[in-house]
Amino acid sequence: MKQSEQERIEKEFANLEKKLNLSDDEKQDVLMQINARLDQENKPRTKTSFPFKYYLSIASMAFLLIILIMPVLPLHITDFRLQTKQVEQAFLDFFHEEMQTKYDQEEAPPYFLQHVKEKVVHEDDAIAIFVEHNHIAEQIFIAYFEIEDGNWQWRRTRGAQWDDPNPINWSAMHEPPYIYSGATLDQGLVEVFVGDVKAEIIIVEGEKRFWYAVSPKRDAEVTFIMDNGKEVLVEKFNRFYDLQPLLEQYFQNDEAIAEFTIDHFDYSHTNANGEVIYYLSYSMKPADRENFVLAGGGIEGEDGWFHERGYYVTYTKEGQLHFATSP
Amino acid sequence: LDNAARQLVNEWYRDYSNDIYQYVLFMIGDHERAKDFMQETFLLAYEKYSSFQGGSVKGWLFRIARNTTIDFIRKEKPIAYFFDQIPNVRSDTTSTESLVTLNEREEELYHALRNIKRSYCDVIILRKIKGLSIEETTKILGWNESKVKNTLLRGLKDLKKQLEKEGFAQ
Repeated sequence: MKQSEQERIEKEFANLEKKLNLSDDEKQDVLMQINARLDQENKPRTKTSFPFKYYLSIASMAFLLIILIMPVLPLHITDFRLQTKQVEQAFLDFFHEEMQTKYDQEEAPPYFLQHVKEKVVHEDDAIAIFVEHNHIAEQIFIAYFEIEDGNWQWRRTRGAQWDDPNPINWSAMHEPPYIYSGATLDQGLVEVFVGDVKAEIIIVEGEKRFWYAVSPKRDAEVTFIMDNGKEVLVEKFNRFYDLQPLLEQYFQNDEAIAEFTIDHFDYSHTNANGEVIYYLSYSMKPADRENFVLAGGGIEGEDGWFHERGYYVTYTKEGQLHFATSP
Repeated sequence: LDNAARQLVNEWYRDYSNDIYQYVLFMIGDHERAKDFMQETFLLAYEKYSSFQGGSVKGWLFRIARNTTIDFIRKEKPIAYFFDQIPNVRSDTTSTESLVTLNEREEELYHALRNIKRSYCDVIILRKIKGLSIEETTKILGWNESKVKNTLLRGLKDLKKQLEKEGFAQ
């Protein structure tokens, strides 16, 4: 083959290699599927002390059963695999659509889906861990989802970031399932336990890691096991409960509000100024309904309470609260 | 160990998934199956993690991907396997060609590669497209050095013939 001809073909090889790539979404989806399959394989097996003599009769029955159902077995296995794959895909489609909506149809929304796990505490739920590069910083979120009436619903989210100046860089969801999570750069951290539950630790990039655990307890103790064998009980700290009295004080000073309650506490993060931002929804009952004017996006319920949705509250370094509709 | 293996496999996926996908895609020419085999490759890498004896991770992953693909061809396309041909595999979903915009010359080259012997295609992908060294290629294919060199030479000649047959755009 002539030199120039070979060079031309090799140049075309290079072009082909550049073009025959998987899209980022497809790559992410396959990675999610791999991790979901690994999660399934890693479920602990329970030991039983079943008397050996029964094994033979059970094995015989199983053999007979297999003989009977063998003709239709491959069909069912294929159906099951197909259904599992379809559920995974439906969840991924739902997640990406939600994020696309959040980012207002931006061509390349600045997020990366890091990890997905389905069937977390029941058959119809999932968690997703994703990294966002928003205007505040690089943040990592864990979100909990459930299927309701055949459709996926985004339930709750918690956020963290690696440059959080707060030494206790973890949080927990306050409704079941109690998902505890945190971000860490500490390479000495080997394991995390939430009560008796060992957390899963995910390497996000380089030294950036993220851990999470689903605990049956609302106020479980979080223990870090370090590489020197030292166990560090991370001080019980609950941002939600810390915020509650501050909010009560805030509304007590407002004469127009008679009562208030936090309906839903979503994620929190620390901004570049070291201030903590909370995302929450709350309800309040006006002291004087006739003269009460609601500013913002609340709605009035039949019970006379006003329900505000999607508010950001900033807790400043000076110890003051500020309300805003964006972080 | 499980966690460490898993983290490593995730890192390898980020570094090499495209390489593995492309390799399988050239070997079977089907986007969906290439994704499936790529997935199988990384799952097998996790399972066989303890048997990995160091060296080139990329080469090891290619070897797993190749075995997975060849197994598939042997079982599902025995005639193509017997005649050392690249099987014609098409799923019902979108084909690769419609996913990417290949120009005329690139498309001709892609088809020509898929019309030569499988062993020629194998060695051309590894050496010329993926740019692996002769040593790495010998390990992946299980051939000796001279077989890699000779097969590559013959493969390139055959590829040229195919391209001439298809009127490779000047």
